[in-house]
Amino acid sequence: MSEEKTNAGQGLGIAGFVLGILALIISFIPCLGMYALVPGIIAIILSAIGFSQASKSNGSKGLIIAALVVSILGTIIAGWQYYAISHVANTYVDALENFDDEFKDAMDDIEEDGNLDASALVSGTEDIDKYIKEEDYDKVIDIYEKTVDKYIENLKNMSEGNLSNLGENMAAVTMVTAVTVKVAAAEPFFSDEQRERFEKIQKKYDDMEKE
Amino acid sequence: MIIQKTQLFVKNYKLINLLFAGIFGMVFLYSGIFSAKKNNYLIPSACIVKPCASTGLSRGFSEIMRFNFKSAKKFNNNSITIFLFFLIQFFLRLLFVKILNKKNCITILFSDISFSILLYIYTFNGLIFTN
Repeated sequence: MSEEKTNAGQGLGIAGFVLGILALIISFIPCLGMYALVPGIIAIILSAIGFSQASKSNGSKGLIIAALVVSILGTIIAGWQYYAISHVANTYVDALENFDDEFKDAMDDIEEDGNLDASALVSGTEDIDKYIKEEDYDKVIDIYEKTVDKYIENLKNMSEGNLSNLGENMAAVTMVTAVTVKVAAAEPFFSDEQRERFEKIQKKYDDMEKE
Repeated sequence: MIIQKTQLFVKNYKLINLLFAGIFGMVFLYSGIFSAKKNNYLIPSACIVKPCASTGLSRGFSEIMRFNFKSAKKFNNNSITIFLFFLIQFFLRLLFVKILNKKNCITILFSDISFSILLYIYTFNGLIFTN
């Protein structure tokens, strides 16, 4: 180490080396690593300018080369981290966008076929009104039971991860709420037998909600 | 300006150590100024989808600066060991500035590189290799 050199480019080399080491330290940290791109790129630029100055003026190049190596390495790792994070973020955004589309379709299904789905479940809330007027409470409870059964079946499907009938599920939720309100209003007029049946269905509904 | 290579090396090495000591000092200052309770950090979290290995590191450092080690561990399990890396490096830089001379510069350089790499692997191990 007795050779004589100028100190051309040394200041930039030191700055590049410090930033490069910082970039390398940060680059390995999950998530945080992508922030190392900033010091890494600055370090490469500074080191490159320092190298050029040192070459022109017979300056010492050891430190500058070390700065270039660590900053390039830090930048590559940070770039990989950035790619990994943006890839995960894009996948997440895509999934969200798909979910929005699926949900919109389900809402459209309810709007378009809601009554059809409802009629498939039960005769509809209008039928309940008709049977209440006619004081045919057995039929009212029949509708209530069918609605609750369908609701429970859909809830089970959803808990198993099957979201294909989201539209029908939404219709079932709406139906069960509407039917429960109407049946509860008719309850004071039930016979003991009817009340017992009604309470059994309610228990089934409550148990499923708890599950 | 013509300068002997060894002399230049020692001068540069000291300057680099001082700069690193300053940077590590700023990490402590940052952790001291900003607190986990207020959660007013300048650097936003990069974990946008779900919490990752580095989540809670800034809050953990802030709690360490306030000697709340249990709380720091709750924010990030690796916060104490990583803080230790910065603390050891901070004092090591100051020590090297003090003891570095033309005679021992090569020994110190290689010891520094070896020790720092090993310390980095040891302290950042939990953070880097958990994901």
